[in-house]
Amino acid sequence: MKRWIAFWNILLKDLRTYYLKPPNISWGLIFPLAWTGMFFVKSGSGLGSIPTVLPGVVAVSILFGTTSMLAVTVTFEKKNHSFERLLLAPIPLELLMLAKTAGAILFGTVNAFVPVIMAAFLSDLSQVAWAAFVPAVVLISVASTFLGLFIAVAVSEVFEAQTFSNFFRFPMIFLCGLFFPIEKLPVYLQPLSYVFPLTYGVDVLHGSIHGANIMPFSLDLTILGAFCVVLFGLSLYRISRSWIA
Amino acid sequence: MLTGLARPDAGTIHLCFCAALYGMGKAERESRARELLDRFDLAEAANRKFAGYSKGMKRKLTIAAGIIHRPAILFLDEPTTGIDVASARHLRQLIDDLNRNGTTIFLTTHYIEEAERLCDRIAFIVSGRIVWIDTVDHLVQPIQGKHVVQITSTHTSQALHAGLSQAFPGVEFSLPGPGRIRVQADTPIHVGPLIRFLEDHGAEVTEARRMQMSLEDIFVRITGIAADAMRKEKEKGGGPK
Repeated sequence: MKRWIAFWNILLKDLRTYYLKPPNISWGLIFPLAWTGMFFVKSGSGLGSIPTVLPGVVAVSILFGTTSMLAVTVTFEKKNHSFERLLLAPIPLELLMLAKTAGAILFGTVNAFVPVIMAAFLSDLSQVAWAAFVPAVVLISVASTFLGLFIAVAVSEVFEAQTFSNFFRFPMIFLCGLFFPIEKLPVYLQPLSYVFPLTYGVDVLHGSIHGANIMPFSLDLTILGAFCVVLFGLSLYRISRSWIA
Repeated sequence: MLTGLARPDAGTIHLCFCAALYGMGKAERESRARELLDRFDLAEAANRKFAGYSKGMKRKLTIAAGIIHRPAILFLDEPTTGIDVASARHLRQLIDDLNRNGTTIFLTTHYIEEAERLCDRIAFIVSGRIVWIDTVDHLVQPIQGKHVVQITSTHTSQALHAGLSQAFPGVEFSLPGPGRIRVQADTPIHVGPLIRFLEDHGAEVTEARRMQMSLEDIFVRITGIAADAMRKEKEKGGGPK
């Protein structure tokens, strides 16, 4: 019980300090809106293209929403020594880091539903397989957050975290099947697509919205879950080695 | 010294957050935060943001955050360094009270008088190693009953030093610096004969001052480091760790 009091208060403090700040709320809304607009302009096929555009907008909103926040909640707090107070708390490191990342996971998930709510007013979403879509959104949020965490704990400056994130974010966006189907990518780039967690999340999103998945949902979600475990494990290892030892 | 406080938070919120890290319930942490803010003289600033606190207030809030869960042991690293005199006095009093109420405190400090006043046992650390550890009573025992006079004169020399030692048996003389003679004895020192001897040997005495021996003398004797030098080094950002 005591551990969960700590967990809840760390999450609450992060929500209050970072996520529920007016600029962040407006950014969280505007960013998905901007992506939606860009995708519509690019596709040029009107409201009928919403089901094909939606997976991309959802994925990109989650990816940018989560990875950007970890640079602040982790790297910044480490740099100004606020993190030391948390590391001294009598809670396991795993729980502490889950508490520090829970805000980003929530933020990413909420970001994902901004374009979904918009799309619900403009298009018929009755055919969406929500039982696959929702877990995919949550798992993409978790994987992206842990990717952000992995980067945030590997650097010491906030700008390094932001810059380093782009080395992962942009190749991931272009190779995960959002803009171009993976099978239409050059043969030598196709294996690279399967190295990124977003590929598997996007596949479920495509499948659940307009039935265009290339792998079974169970396989996609399992691999996405494995990415979450590995990225979280690597981040914890890095923290134990560099920040505590 | 813990410094990792969230800058945007008010004092009360920060204390409650630190209490929550130790699993304290809402009602308990709010009441404990109020109690500590009162005790640390921070009640008026309770709802002000931490970033606007003075250095002394920040230090007090940091210590309050460190004891909110009633720890049995508290580590304080130079708690009074760099803060104003009134805050430092208040902090020393708070540390003393905590100790009297049963908290074991490990205090590191460059202020030897602070260690002498607050601590039961003192360890001298040189280059990261404990070179001596004992109770304050045991440490000061060798200097209890010693009498010291420091004489300032126009000139000193080894010949003069030898002459003094010969003329005043049972009294120890040393030359700690140019123009200075340190006189130490187990019985009260009569300065008249000393001054006359020095003047007869061509040295004009400008000052003769009775010195109170302190723990600092013991520190210098044991470590070979002058406390002033150590403090100056520390203030420059270097010095022995």
